[in-house]
Amino acid sequence: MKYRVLFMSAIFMVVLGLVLSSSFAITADEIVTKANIASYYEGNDGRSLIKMEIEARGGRKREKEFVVLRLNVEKGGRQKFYVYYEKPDDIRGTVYMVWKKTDGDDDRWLYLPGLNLVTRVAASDKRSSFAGSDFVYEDISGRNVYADDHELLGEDDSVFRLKSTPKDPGEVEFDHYLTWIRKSDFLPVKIEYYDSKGTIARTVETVESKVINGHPTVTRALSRNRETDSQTVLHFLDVEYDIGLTDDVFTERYLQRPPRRWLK
Amino acid sequence: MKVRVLSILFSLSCFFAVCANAFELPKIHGFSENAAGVKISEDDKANKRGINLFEQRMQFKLRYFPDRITVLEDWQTEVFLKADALMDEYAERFFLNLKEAYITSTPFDFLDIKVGRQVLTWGTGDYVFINDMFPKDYESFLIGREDEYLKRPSYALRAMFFSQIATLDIAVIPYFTPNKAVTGDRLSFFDPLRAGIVGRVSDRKLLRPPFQFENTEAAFRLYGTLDSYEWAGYYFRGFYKNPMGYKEEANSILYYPELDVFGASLRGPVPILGGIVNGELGYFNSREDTAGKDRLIPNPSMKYLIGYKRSFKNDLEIGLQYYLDHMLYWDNYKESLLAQDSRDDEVYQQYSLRITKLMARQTLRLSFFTFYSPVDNDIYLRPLIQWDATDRWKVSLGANIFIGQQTNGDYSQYTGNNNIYTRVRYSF
Repeated sequence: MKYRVLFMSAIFMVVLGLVLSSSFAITADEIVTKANIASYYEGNDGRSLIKMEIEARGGRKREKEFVVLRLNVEKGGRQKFYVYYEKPDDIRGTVYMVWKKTDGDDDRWLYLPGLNLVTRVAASDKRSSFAGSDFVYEDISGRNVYADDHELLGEDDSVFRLKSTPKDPGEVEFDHYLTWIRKSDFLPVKIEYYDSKGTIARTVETVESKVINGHPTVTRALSRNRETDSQTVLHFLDVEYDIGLTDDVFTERYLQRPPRRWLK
Repeated sequence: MKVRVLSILFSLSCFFAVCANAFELPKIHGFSENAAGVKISEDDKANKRGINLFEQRMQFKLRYFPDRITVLEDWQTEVFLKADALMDEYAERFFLNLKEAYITSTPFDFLDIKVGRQVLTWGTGDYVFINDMFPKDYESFLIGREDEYLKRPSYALRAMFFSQIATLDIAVIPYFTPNKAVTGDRLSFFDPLRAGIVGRVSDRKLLRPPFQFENTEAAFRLYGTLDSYEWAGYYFRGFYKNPMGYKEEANSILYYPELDVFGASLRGPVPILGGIVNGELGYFNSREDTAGKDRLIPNPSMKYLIGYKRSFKNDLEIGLQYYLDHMLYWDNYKESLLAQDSRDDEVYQQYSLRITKLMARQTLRLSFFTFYSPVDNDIYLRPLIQWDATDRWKVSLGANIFIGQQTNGDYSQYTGNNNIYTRVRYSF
């Protein structure tokens, strides 16, 4: 009996040791991969109504509203996005569709309701402003985790702190960026983009997050551009996961005829 | 009269607004716009000197889902209305234009149906149309109205059959709508009947195919996507959209000859280089004269288009297109001509270039579109600056500049109509 207890304790210690050592050994790449999944790939699909508030220095506040439908083709890999503009009023009904790829340029389409025109959009610079805001395209659709070299700078009880340096500095506007990633759910808490002089050029912060359908979800994000002294808040409203989106939603058929049951 | 119409409209929209609140009727959206275009070339041939665009416009859009009727709800039925109230100070007339009025439904998973007045668009060109044989309003295009007004609506029954491999898109158009022809009231143009540039003195009579069953037009498109590439095949059976045939030369009566178009297109990304390439072609067959022996009917032709566009850093995009129109029975055409006829070229070529640059957080859009034809040796410049002053107010400033010596060139014929225009729009 005594031996058995000892034996069990020994096994317990070994298992505990394995678990602990593996958690100590988590690499920067693993953290970034998990954060990428947590931020952009939760569930098989999802929808959200995004309200965007742009405040430029001395400028008027501008608001945009769009519904985003997302379908994972492969977790951590290809995805399809459908973006339906509700506001501003002059572009209501415009649809932007992206077939995101992790290798090569994304395929993008634009539907202009006034002309009933489906046109192809030349994949643009992924670091350019998304819809005139302080967020860039890659903030919205995700940045390829292999595009940067990641280094774990440190951690405390709640967050990992990483430094990421681009493999191809010519492709991006930043020199490097620091990311604080929450240990509990791998959502990024804050990202700081630095310029070559070592000053912070832009920040992206998670202001609010909730657990929705069991998925940790950013519900409010803020980006501040220190160079232009402007900021943008994104409100992620009516977030839902696994609503049953199918591949055919992301085709020309639904560009011309927005799928109302998913957009409501 | 003007005041009365506007006040009726105003009270109607108030009424709808009140109703909308009371019964949760669909919201009305749209815009109010003032536009003015000042002529910068000396020309006294059109009706008015000095201006060729001066109007106030209100557009109303309404989308309605008749969900109370279960079967319509199950079929995801949707009703859409779009109407323009236009006070056209140039024409000195008030117009109420029904731009779109259709009902669309999905009775089966594989079938969408759209019936009514609707805008039809397909093909891959940028302002260049080969297989899109649906009506256009080039007058609006040439004087500087919003792009939306380039397309005229058609009365059509449209059915789209979907499958995994391909989609079959059919549009049946029982009532013929031509391109809005340049008549000389607003824009001076080259009239071959008078062998010169004419304006209001033009007395061409345009004879449309009568509203009869056998004059029903039909357009077919079979299309699909392979990887990142979109392919399509087209067939159109109907009429030329411009009055290209001569019924009675002596009496200046022109008509819209019968036409078949067979075509295809391909569009997709360019490997390594990046950007999007598109290619399209079409065989235009004049059914009344398939061998091109009649000088009064357009010669059958092959039309080709190749385009490429790509974007650069800092919201800059550049697009290039090359278009070629080859008259197929040139020898027959030459033989058929009379001594006094002006002779068209066997091959027409045209280049176009579009440069778009966004600035000031994408609220300022600079765009520059130009057509150039080495055959007619003429140029059409379309510079445009658009500024989103707020989320609701948009200000546009643009110009239409035609350059060339040849009186009958596609664009040089309009050199008397160069203008600078401005539009101020409030969207709601």
